Amino acid sequence: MFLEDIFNLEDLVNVKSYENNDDEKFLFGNSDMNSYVPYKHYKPVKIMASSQEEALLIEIMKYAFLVNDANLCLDLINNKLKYEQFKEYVKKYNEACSKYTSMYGPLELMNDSYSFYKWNKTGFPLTLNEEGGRHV
Amino acid sequence: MYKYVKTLPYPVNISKKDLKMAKYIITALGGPAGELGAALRYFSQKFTMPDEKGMALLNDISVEELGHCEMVSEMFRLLTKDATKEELEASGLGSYYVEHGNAVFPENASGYPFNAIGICSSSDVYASLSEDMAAEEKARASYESLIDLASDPNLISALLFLRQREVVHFNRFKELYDYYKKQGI
Repeated sequence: MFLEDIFNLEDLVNVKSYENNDDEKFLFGNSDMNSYVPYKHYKPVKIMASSQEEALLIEIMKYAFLVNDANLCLDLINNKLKYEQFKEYVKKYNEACSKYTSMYGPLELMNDSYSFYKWNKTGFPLTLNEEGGRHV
Repeated sequence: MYKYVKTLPYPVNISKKDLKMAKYIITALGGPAGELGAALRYFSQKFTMPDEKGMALLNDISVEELGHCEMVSEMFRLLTKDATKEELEASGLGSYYVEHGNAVFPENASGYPFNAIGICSSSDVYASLSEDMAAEEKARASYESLIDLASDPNLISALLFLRQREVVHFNRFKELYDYYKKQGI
């Protein structure tokens, strides 16, 4: 039996946020923008990358966030559409991580067998452009 | 087993020293509504949740909270970066300097160290989940106070992100609480 088989048809409804923009979901910290609760007039500033490396890291952070938030929903409900979203985000996260690690080094110790030699050369967490104070 | 990933949950781009803000923000790590307490609370509670739904949710939120601990710690480090002992003392961090220098230490804004006596872990699932919902609301309110006191747009953005996560976690805990009630557990 495939995992998809356990979902009911009625689970396909009530995923209100599917069409929302992924960048916006990450920026605002909520993958269901219908349940977003603002605070006063405050809005987050747009996340700007100052290098290709930073742009990739932000992409990784975004998909890590989306995977995590979809996972919290799937902990509680069997929802086929949410599960499809989850799979798509995992795929995009893995793609972004592979691209990053092939160009800049490991993000996890076990990314590859050569990781050990690069693992302790960057920060915990990773820091970029320390002088400018950018930390992603 | 836990695996460490070098990325933060959200960018923390602080380039300006702000010792007053650092003194306040440390409570988001070690205060009564802080991320460390949240992570330990949910981690401890997961073992006696009545089913896999509860175990999964408590586990996954506790892991997310550990990531938030690192975010807040990084905020503190950047807000105090290159501060002299004179500057720390002048901003009310003199006692902190004596004990910790400018290292990260989990305490509240008044200097009381983190203490697990303030968190609940009960085999009564409703006691635990009620505390979890209250904890998320307390943390949301605390982040709102920090946002009110902050002036750096990048810091405010990161605090808004953390505040919104409290909103999301509250909703998930409420859904679990209601599910158990409906099941008559």
